[in-house]
Amino acid sequence: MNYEFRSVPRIICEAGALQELGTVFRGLGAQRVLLVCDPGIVSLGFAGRAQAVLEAAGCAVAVFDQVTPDPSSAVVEQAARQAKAFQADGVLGLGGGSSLDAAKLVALLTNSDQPLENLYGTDKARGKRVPLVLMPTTSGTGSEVTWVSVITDPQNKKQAVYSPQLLPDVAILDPLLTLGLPPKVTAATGLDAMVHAIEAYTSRTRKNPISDGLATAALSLLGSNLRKVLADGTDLPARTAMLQGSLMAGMAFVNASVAAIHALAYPLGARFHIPHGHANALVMAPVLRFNLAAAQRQYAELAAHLLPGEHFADEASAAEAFVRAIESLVEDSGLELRLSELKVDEPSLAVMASEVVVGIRRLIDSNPCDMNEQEVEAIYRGIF
Amino acid sequence: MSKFTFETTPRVICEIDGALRLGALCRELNAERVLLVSDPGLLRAGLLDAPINAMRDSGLQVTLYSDVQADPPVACVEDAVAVARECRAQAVIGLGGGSSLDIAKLVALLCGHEQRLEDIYGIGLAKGPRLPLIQVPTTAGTGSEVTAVAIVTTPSHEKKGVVSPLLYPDIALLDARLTVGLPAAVSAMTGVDAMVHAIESYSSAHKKNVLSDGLAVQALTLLAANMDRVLAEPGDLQARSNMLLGSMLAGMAFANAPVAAVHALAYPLGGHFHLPHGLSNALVLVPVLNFNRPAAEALYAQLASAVLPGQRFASPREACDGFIDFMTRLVARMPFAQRLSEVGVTDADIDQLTDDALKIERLLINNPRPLDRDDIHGLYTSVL
Repeated sequence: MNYEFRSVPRIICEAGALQELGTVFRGLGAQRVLLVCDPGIVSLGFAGRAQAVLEAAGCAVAVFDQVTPDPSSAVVEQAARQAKAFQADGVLGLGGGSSLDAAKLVALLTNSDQPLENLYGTDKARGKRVPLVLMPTTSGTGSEVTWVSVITDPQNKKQAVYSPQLLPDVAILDPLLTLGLPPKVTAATGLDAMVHAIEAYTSRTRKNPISDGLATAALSLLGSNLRKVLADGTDLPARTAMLQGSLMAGMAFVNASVAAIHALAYPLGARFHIPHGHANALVMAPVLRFNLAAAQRQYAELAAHLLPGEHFADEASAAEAFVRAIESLVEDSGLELRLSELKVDEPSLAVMASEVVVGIRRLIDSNPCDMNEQEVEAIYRGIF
Repeated sequence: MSKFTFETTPRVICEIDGALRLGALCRELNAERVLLVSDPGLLRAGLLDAPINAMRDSGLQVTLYSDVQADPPVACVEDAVAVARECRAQAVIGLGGGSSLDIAKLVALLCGHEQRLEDIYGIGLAKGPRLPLIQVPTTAGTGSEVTAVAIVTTPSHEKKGVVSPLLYPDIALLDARLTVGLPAAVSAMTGVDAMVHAIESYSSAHKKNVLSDGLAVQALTLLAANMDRVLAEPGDLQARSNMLLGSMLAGMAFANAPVAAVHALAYPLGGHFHLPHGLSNALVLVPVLNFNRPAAEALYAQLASAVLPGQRFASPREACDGFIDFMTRLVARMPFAQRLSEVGVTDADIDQLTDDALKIERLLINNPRPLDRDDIHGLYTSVL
C-alpha cells in the first residue's frame, strides 16, 4: 500500500520534435550543450541536425560521439572531462540506451568532483547535475524516464548508479529518428520494452497501481504495433506507438522493478556481448512459461491488453493464451533464438546460472516465483 | 495525431501516515524553516497537530498559516506571503483541499521570485525559481497536487488563474489517514469530481494522448471500485488510499488533456449558488454524458471496461450504454442533491447560467460534441 513513484516532469512527443531542442535547452537556461552519442548517430546525420538546431537557437555545442554498447566507465569519464573542459551547462543524450545512460552520468559529473566509482549504488550522487535532455532513438530501454545508469567497470563488471538526479528535465520522443532502425534492432528493443511492461506488472516487490496503469497501457501499444513495425519500418503511426509504449513501460518498471527475465539476460550481455534487448528476447518466453502457475492471474489480466477483444473460458486459458502470444511474437521476431547460435559455450550455462541466483538475487526477488540455480540452468539449457 | 507534451509532478509518495515524515522530506529539499498552508476546518479537527509536532520534533521550524477559505481571495495569498516572508520560509507545504493547495502554490512562487500576482494571471507568465513545495491533499477530488493551475478570486469577484509548470510541486504526498474523517457528502462530491476529471480528460477533443489516457483509465478504475466502499466504511484505509490515488491520477490526466462541458456548465452553478465544485459537476454530469453520446460513443465504450471490469458487451453501443448507466446509478445513490431546484436554482436562473456557461469557451471547445446556446439551456433545464 505504501510506495513512491518518480517520473520525468516533462515529456514531448512529436514527429519532428528534434526541431524543438533549441527552445527546450534555452528554456532550461542552458547555452553550452554537450551532445553525447555514438558514431552511428553521427553517420545517420542526427547529431549534425541536433547541433544545427541548437546552434540556431544560440547555443554553443560540443559533441562526444564515442559511446560504445555496454559503455565503459572510461568512456563516461572521458565524456565528463570534455563536458568540464567545454564548460557545458547542459547535456543532451541522443541515441540508444547506452548513449542515454552515459549522458545521465555526464550531466551528474559535469558539476561534481565525485569520482565515478563513488556513485555506484543507490543515492550516492552529491551536488546538482546540469540540465539534461534525453532523446531515445530506439523503442526499447526506456532509459529516458529511468533514474538508473548501467556501465561496465575496468574489471568488466556491470555497475549501476541509482539516483533521482538521473531523471532528465525533459524526455523528447521523435519517432522520425526511429524509422530507419534495422529489423533486428527493432525486434530486440521492442521485445525488451514488452518485458519491462510485463515484469513491472508482475513484480513481487514494488508493483503499484500507477506502474500497473502504465504497464498495461504500454503493453497494448507495444503488442499491437510490434508486428507492424517489423513488417514496415517506415510506418510512422506504429513507430510512434512503439516509442510511446517504450517510454510508458520505462516509467512502469523503474517504479516497480524488473525480474527474472532481466536477471537471466544480464550474464548473456556481460559475457557474450549479446545486446540487452536480444538477451531479454532469448529468455523471455521460457521464463514466462516457468512463471505461469505463480503468475496465472496477472498473465490473464495482461491477456486482456495484449489480446483485446478475445474472450477466454477462464483464467487459466487467458494466461496460457498470453504466454502463447508472446512465444509467437518472439518466434516471428527474426532474431536468433538459440544460445549456441550466439557463440555461448555449454560450460558457461552452469556458471551463468550460479551468477544469476547469487549476484542478481535482487531481481529474482521481484519475480512472481522463486528460481533456484538448477531451474535457471534448465532454462538456459532449454534455449541452448 | 500523436503530438503531445506531458508534464507532471516528478515525485509521488503514497504512504499511510506519510504526513508524519514531512520533516525528513523538507530536509531532503534543504529546508529548515517551513510554512504550512491549511484551513481553519482542518485546524479545528486537529488534523494538523500530528504532522506539525512530528516536523518540530525533527528540528524543523514550522509556521502555520491556517486561514485559507474556500474560493480563496487575493488577500489570502497576500497574507500567507507576508507570513512566509516573516518566518523566512525555505519551503512551503500545502495541506488541505484544493484551495489550500492553490494558495501554497502561489506562496511558493511569489516568495521564490519577486513578482506581482496581478502580473502573472494567465498562462506561462510566472517566473521561477519558486520555493520547494510539497502538496498533501486531504480530499480525494481536485487533483490540485498534480496540476499547474492556481485559482484566486479578485476583489471585483472575478476568478483569475495562474498557469505555469512552476506550480507542479516537488513532491505530492498522499496520506490516506488524513481523509478518513471526511464527511460522507464531501467524500461523495469530491469523488465524483475526480471521476469527472478522468472521464472528461479521456474524451477531451484536445491534447488527449496515450499517457493521459492510460492514467485516466487507471484513475476511473480505482475511483469506480472504491467510491461506494468509502461511503459504507469511512475508515477503510485501503479504499481511502485508492480514492486519493485515483483522484491524483485523474489530476495528472486532466492537467495534460483538459476538461470540457461538465466543468463549463458547473462553474456558473458554483459562482451564483456557491455550490461546492464537486456537487456542481455531479449535478450536470449525467445530462452531459447523454448529450455527448453520439460523438463519444466509442470513447465511453472504452471506459466501460474501467468501471465494469470483466463485463462483456456485444457492441460498442452496448458498452457505451453500460458506462452511462453505471455513472447514472452511481450519481443517483450519492448522498447529495440530485436536481438544481434542490439547491435553490429556479427556472428564471437558467438564462443567466446559460449565458455564463457559453462564456467558458476555453473548456467548451474540449467537449467531444459541440454545444450551442439551446443545447446548454436544455441541459440545465433537464436537471432542474
